[in-house]
Amino acid sequence: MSSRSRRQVIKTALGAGLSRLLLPFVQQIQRQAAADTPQIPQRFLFVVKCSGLTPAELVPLEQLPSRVQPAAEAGWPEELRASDNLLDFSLAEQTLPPSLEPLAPFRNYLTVLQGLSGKMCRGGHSAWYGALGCYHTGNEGNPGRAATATVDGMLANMLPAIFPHVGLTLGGKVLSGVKDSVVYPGISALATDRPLPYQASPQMAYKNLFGVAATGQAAQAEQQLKSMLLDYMVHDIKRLQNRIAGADHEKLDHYLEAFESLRMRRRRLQGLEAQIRQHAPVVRDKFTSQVETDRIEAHFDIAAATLISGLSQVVTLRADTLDVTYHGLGIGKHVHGLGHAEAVPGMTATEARNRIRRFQVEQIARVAAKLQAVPEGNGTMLDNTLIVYLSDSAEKHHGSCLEWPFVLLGGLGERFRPQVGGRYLQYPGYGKEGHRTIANFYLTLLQAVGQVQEQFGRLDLNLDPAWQRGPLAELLT
Amino acid sequence: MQAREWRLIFVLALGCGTCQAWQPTAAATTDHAHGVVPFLKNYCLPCHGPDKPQAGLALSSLSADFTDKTALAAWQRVFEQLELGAMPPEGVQQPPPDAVNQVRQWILQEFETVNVTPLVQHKLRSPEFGNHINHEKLFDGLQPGPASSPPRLWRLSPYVYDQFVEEVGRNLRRETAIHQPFPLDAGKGAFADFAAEHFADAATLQLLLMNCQTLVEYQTSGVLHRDHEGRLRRLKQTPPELEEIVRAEDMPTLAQLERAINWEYQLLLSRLPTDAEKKQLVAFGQTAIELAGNVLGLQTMLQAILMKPEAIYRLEIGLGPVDDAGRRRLSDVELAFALARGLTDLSPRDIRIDGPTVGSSSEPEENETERKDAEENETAHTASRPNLLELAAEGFLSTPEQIRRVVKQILDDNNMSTADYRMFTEDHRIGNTRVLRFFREFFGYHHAPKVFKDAKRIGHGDRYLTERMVGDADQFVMHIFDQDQDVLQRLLTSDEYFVAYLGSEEHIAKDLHYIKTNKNDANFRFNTEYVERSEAAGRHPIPIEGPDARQYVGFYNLDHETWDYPIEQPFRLPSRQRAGILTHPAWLIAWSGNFDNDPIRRGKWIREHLLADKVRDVPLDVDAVVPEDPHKSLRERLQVTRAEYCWQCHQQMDPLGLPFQQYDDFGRYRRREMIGELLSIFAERHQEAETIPIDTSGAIIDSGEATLDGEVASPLELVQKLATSPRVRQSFVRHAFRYWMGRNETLDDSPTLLAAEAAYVNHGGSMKALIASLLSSDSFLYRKEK
Repeated sequence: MSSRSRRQVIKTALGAGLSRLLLPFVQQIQRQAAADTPQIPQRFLFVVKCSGLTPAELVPLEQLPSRVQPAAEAGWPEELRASDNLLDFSLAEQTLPPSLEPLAPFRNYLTVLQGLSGKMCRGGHSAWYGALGCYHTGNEGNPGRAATATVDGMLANMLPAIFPHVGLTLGGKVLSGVKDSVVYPGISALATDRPLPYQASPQMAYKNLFGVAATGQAAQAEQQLKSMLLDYMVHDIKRLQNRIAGADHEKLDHYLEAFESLRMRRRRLQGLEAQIRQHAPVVRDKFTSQVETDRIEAHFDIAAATLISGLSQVVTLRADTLDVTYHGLGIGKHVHGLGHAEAVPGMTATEARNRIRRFQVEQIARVAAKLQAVPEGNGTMLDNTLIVYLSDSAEKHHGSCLEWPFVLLGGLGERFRPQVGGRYLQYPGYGKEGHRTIANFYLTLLQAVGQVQEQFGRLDLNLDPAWQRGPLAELLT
Repeated sequence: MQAREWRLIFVLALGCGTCQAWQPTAAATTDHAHGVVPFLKNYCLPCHGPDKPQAGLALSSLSADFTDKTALAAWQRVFEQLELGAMPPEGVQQPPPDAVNQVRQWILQEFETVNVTPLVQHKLRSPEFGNHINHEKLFDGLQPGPASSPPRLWRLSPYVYDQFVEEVGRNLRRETAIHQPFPLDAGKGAFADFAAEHFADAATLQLLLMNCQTLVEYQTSGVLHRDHEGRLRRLKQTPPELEEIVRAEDMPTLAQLERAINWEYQLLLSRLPTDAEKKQLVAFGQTAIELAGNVLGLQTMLQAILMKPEAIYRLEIGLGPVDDAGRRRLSDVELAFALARGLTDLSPRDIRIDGPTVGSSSEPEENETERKDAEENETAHTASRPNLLELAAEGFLSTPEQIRRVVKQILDDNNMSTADYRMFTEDHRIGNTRVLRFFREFFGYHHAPKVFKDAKRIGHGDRYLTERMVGDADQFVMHIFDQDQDVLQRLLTSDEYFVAYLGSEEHIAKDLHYIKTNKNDANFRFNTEYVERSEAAGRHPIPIEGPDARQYVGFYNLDHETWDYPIEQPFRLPSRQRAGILTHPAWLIAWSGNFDNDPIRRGKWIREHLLADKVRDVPLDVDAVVPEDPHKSLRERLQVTRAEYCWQCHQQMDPLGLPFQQYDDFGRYRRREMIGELLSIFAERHQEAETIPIDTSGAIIDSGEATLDGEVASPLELVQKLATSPRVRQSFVRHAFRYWMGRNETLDDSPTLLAAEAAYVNHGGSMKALIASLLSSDSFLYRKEK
């Protein structure tokens, strides 16, 4: 569709008193209309771990004496020293901490982002939707209400794909263990009261995403059943439409459109069979394994293949939950216990936590390698994919949200380019002049894909509202 | 050509102030057109003539050519004013209602010819435009009606869906990945479940598809579920009708497939499929089974039933007979569903009613006798009672009197708890949860836990404390509802409250025993010492575990340490401190801000909910912020709204909300207001704080009822005045109408509202009579396209 005809569509649709349900579609056309030249897709992979991402473990070794201080209580992880001013230096001449060593081959794509706060969120074991949405919700055991879209949900709304958002997870809510079905971890939402589902079974995730590429007889029969069902429902709704004439026809139209869009998705998938087959992950034992590390590896494989095959531009991977035990790493204590500093035979809780973090970073490195192997534009897919590593409980097991560290790997084309050799960026501590929040970071991501807005989520009432507006200018080019 | 001709003359006729030349042509074009020009000339042109027309709307040169964009926009404005009953304004000569109707009909016809929908109809579909219809005209008895609702599809409520899933398998929703596909956006002070507001879109379908997959697996092969110890278990409940297909090695027979289809239809839609539906599904099922085997094929066929549009939307098309006014009555099945959903979250199949030969009288004594009989022989009696669908099919829901009898019986049965509220309602013997939701959404007190109060001010258990208050308020309103006398007046003025009540002496004893013996609780020592201390002093202890949690009674100005907990409730709180729901801590907190009271929104609530008035939105150019000054009272700081521009709107709100300064923003009664520091619930922190006297004066201004207007000295005087006002009663009736009809009222609904008000008054302030009147009204029973 030419940009002119798109504009006409928008004008006509708005003139006809368009239902608010169609607005995202119109906004999508508007964005497409605004682009005169074909653009390289921008992709996001959010990797959300539980039990905190320890800020002190992300500091280059040379900086440790000045940037890190012992914990107030013995046995607990060291703490990051709040800075009075903005720290912004290259990692080129620095030694990466053990946690980040696996990222050394991708050093040019690495940014360590520290000093942000998220006190507008609930702390504790999880900030739930707040971690990616910047608002207070939920309680100890439940995510509460998805008050607004989270940043991954917003990006999914903006970046059109066959699957707008793909959620992969090991478990459900933060206190739960490994699951085998679709779950709602309560960390992502497409819109108000629209929590995003996550697939906990790597096997099911593979079926949903790459099933069209399946070649076995049973798998193909299953795919065919799904198509048949959608066809049947479309006819069933049309039959009812004829029977009840004009009454409230809009509602049936919406329901029909929903089925037709799913049918369309299946058809589009069928048209891409060859491409999907080419990039689909190889199904190995780890897809059906009950060992946690196997399942995590399988999910990272699926995430990489999803982005590379173009099935989705936004993937959120919930790397673990508190009831998960990393038997595959030789750690016989669940993450919850480690968070409470309970020791494991042969290692301290801190050592075990470091081992888990390093394992997750290794998975991120594997995805980065796969992305880097695919040429795109003048570079590779890694230049146009940003991997965001964070924890939904901010900086520690019972997050205070005073610190909320991120590890960023990759780029967003021209909009966001890390420095050669890597970058360490730490904003002034909570309440100090120049302090910024996680909302500013999410505004940065949104701005990088063309969504300019002043505020994201709710404000931290104890901070100057002006500090919480706009993106982190230091990150945007 | 003819239409074009008279349209030209129409312009000239208005322009020269005469209509002599116009009339014959118009009359030939349409029946309704006849009176349009005289109507506009007599009632509109005096203000909307060529010289300085009011609101910038000049009708003197108005073209009747509806294809002309300028003219169309003007007719939209004219139609809106007539539809809302807003013009001509009060104080000038009013047209007869028939004449208004004639002009409305003519404009509607013209809209139709150019295929345009009146914009006002879009507006009137939203709950926030409910009060835009002229109140006086709704209750002047001059509106002829006849009333009807538009034919419509009403999306399932989340409560009905929960109930359905619970029926398929108890605890299924908790143990599997079934998720709520039909959430309602619960705006504070607005009814959430409006029929026109909710669609099933692509996102809904995504969830439904996944839910349906889980449900059919549960019904056939089983759902894998990991229990709390991490063991994989298979959850399964397969009826014989499906089991025989799952177990069969060969292709199922036609009869087997039909039995499976019938079973699923009955479960989901409370009906059997039509022959055509059965034929289509059998063919679909056979193809699916041939392709993928019995289990997967059967699952796919069942999914096709579970996702039928009728399973998502309740159809209220009006499939019954057509009357002289062109209205179609709801068919028997539609009516049975409408009543079931109006009063409960259950299927009509699950609501059993005494047959017409038993208990046909509405005398309460006889109903009481019936209930006792029912308790004695519950099973036999239940089996002998027809369900709503059977009752409708037998023709016992044909007259309004029959419907009112059934409605009254369902409300009296008081046994309609649903999955959503099961724990709470069973404990507290609250049955009519759909009525409870009306009160919650009308008053908005259930939003109290969502108003964030900083932990520094209220401690870390804020949500826990406020949720308890909401439970108290639920009991307060439902106790009054069950007594069914002067309901609105008592809701606004009763000083009989519930605080931490557990529903029965047995339950209180049980919880106290638990507290005394639960050694695992971190506060065990404090708990037992408190209980012993209280009992030694001859006081009943509060049956709440944990000293912090017990402190919540302080929100009612009760001292948790010395209060003698009443084991029979409700009980009287000091009557000079509180009266009714508007002085209940739950309501006061729900309508407060994070750090202080919110007199503006409290006043706005009263203006809109009790006085049926409308308040315009904050103008875009206004930065509506109350200035900060810790040394001034909130009332003093609100002086900013007295600026002339602001006061035009704020006089409608502030004077109604300011009397509630009698309470702090935690809902506690106070005699003095603290300034200079941030108030918390921890009294010991404020020993040295500066305090000033409270000013609780306010006023009711321009209420639309002259005797109601005037100054008030306190919140109690305000609520007492409101409680006796006919306008407040009518406003309450209007809101009840919206809740039970799922839409806003129109002028055509005037007879329905008058009848409902009369039923309420004539039965001594009976809410049940009011609901019965609404659910047997033409607005409820008939469907007609507007």
